[in-house]
Amino acid sequence: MERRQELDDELGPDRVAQLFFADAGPRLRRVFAARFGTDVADDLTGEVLEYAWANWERLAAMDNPIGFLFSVGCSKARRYHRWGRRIEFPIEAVRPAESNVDIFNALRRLSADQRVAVLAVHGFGWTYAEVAAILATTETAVTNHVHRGLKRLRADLEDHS
Amino acid sequence: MNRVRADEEVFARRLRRAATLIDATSEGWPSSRTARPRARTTPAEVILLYATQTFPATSGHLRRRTIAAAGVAVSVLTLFSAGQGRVAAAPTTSQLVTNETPAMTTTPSTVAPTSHTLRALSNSIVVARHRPAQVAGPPQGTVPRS
Repeated sequence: MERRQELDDELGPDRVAQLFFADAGPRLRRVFAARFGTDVADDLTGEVLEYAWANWERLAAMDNPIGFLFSVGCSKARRYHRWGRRIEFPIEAVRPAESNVDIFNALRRLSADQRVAVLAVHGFGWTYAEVAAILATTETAVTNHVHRGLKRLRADLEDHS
Repeated sequence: MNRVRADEEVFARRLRRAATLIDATSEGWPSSRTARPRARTTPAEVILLYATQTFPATSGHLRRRTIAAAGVAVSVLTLFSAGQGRVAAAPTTSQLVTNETPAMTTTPSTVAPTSHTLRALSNSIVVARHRPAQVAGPPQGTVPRS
């Protein structure tokens, strides 16, 4: 909060808001793509940023606004996803010779939290702390999701190879 | 041991490639509602979304059509969000139809546009984009001489 106040004083609240939008937009889109699929991530991010714009006063006072926006996105995603609907991912065109399993099919079989944590840490190269902040959870929980997700992913890929 | 390390490397590279592909595919994916390719959401679009959502009668479909069509409005609204310290005059209906950019005023502004301004602007966009095109011809009520 103190840091936010310092930034407000230094840059002005409008500039701080712009910087937040520029940083949070791409991050949220990546997380939404990993969790809900590539077809809804862009629209969902747009809706969440729209919400952020409308409620900026409230968000600016929060310690972890991006984590809050992630939970807003999860609520809004219900409209896009019906029960049993398959999550859209691209097709893995280039595959190792010894594997006949599409990695995206294996990723679909992970739980949503595991998929986001694995992709964020090992795919996008984020730190555990960054992932914990955006998912509004603890680093320990992220570590567990990554560990279990990777274990399941490996087993899945090796079983079918 | 080397085999294990090589497998690890292949696995890690595969995951990174999958993440890159997901990232690239999610950007500009055809909107699930309109099945139309759409540019990445800009702050200006966010403002426009906010503005148009204040209309209860404006459906999501129409809202997106408005955003897709109103390129000029987005460029005008970018000025609001770009922190230029200037305010563009709200474009008139004719300017919106002809895609003409309204003149800039040099009045410095530090306040965000009011919801009233945004509502008026988005209303004029919706009206302008859905108005039937003017057909050239003689004025009504005149009879051509034979």
